[in-house]
Amino acid sequence: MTSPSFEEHLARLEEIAAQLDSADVPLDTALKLFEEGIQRLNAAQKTLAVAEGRLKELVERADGTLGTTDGRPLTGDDRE
Amino acid sequence: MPPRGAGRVSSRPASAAARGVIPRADDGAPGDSPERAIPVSALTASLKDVIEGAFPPLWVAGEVSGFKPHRNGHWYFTLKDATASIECVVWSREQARIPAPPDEGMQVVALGAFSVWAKTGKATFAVKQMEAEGEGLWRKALEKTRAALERDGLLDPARKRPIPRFPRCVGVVTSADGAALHDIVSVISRRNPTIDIVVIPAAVQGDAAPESIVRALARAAAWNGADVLIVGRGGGSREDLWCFNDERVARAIAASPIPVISAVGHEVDISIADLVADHRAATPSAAAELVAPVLADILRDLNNLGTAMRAALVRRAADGRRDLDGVRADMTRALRRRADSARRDVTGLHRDLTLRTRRVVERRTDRLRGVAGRLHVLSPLRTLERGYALPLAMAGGALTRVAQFAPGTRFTLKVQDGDVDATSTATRPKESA
Repeated sequence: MTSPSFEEHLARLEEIAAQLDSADVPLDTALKLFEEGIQRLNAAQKTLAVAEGRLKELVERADGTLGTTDGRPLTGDDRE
Repeated sequence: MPPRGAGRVSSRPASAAARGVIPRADDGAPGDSPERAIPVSALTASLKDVIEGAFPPLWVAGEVSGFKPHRNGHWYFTLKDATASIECVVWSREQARIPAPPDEGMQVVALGAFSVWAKTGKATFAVKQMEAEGEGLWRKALEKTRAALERDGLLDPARKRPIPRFPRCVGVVTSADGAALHDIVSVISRRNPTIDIVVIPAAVQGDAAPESIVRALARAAAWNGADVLIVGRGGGSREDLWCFNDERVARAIAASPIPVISAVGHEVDISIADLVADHRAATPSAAAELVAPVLADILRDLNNLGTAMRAALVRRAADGRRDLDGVRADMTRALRRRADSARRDVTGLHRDLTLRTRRVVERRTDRLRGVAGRLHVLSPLRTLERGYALPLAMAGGALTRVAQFAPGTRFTLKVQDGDVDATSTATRPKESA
């Protein structure tokens, strides 16, 4: 896999928040956790900001590999 | 033997009649005299033409008896009522439309047409559709599929996988131009326009639907770009929805490496696909709501998490400071305790030392006193008190020998109440000395 998915970011963020809340985390660990949390928070927010869902179709190319059509943005006429 | 197409059958009676039945005026009809006897095969061919042409496909009610699936793939049985019976066949290629083979003694209605085997002249009722009382065959087919899946453990609730909470891409296996796709796209785009939707087109009704859905699922798995799949279609008749009860479809759903939500457009009935899918949605729209969390909610949750993290860190830092203060206070207290105890030790030592010193001095004083007493007893002065006198040289020192008293020697004679100046006039040493 490449960069962590939004879901992984969020799961880790929830974990970090919970760990920060518990008193048995040493302060320097807490600082490191916080730093990681802020980074992940930014990454997750960026994911949502740049993403624009599209409606595509799965097609089989001439060479037999599978891919999707370019698709159109998930806004406009299908939007209610 | 395949039944004939309707068009051809309807054109037959006239020619059959022309060939065998209606006598012709000039030279007579075939078979109307010993001379014009017709071969058996001509008779059975006529029979076939007449009978197959005379009946349109009919629904017939009766009881199934002697059902036998032949190894050639066709089903043979007898359909009977109280007084009559007829041989029936279901050609293997027609069986797909019949949900399940009927049971012995089952009351059924069968749609079919007469088929005559020209070799024997035997008429058989070729059945194309069949239904038992109370939808018995559908239920039986469902139960059979369900049992097969259950036997293979595919209905085990433990197999069900969680649906990803935040899919980036949703695959939809359905008809590319159906209402289901439209519903799914509109719900997802309204709730969360950051999610990609990829359509994996499949026929979702008709005989080809099961294979088409199976292939679409295989393509989705091979592509592996979707986080979750929705498989389904909008509402329709039981026959329209039947492909979602197909065992092949069920097994393909169970085998999907990607979690599957079934969304067959019916609220009440549960399809086999619903049983094997990781999650069942009542309608395609409901499936879309299930996979697409509302974007605004996600953003709010993210903000809350950020706030919670900052608050926790501030709290954690305050805790740290408090801990530090606590430690400092502890240290100060400990130091003070140490100092106090040291001071107490020094004081104690000092007192101890004084005491010991005093004791030592006292002991010395006692000894001195003792010595002094003894000294006093031994003192020559005590001897003088008893009447003796002590001669002392002018230079000091006691004179104890005659030799020290050479005539004319001046010396002091110490007596008990004073000194006497004296001079030696003569000495007489002892004879023995």
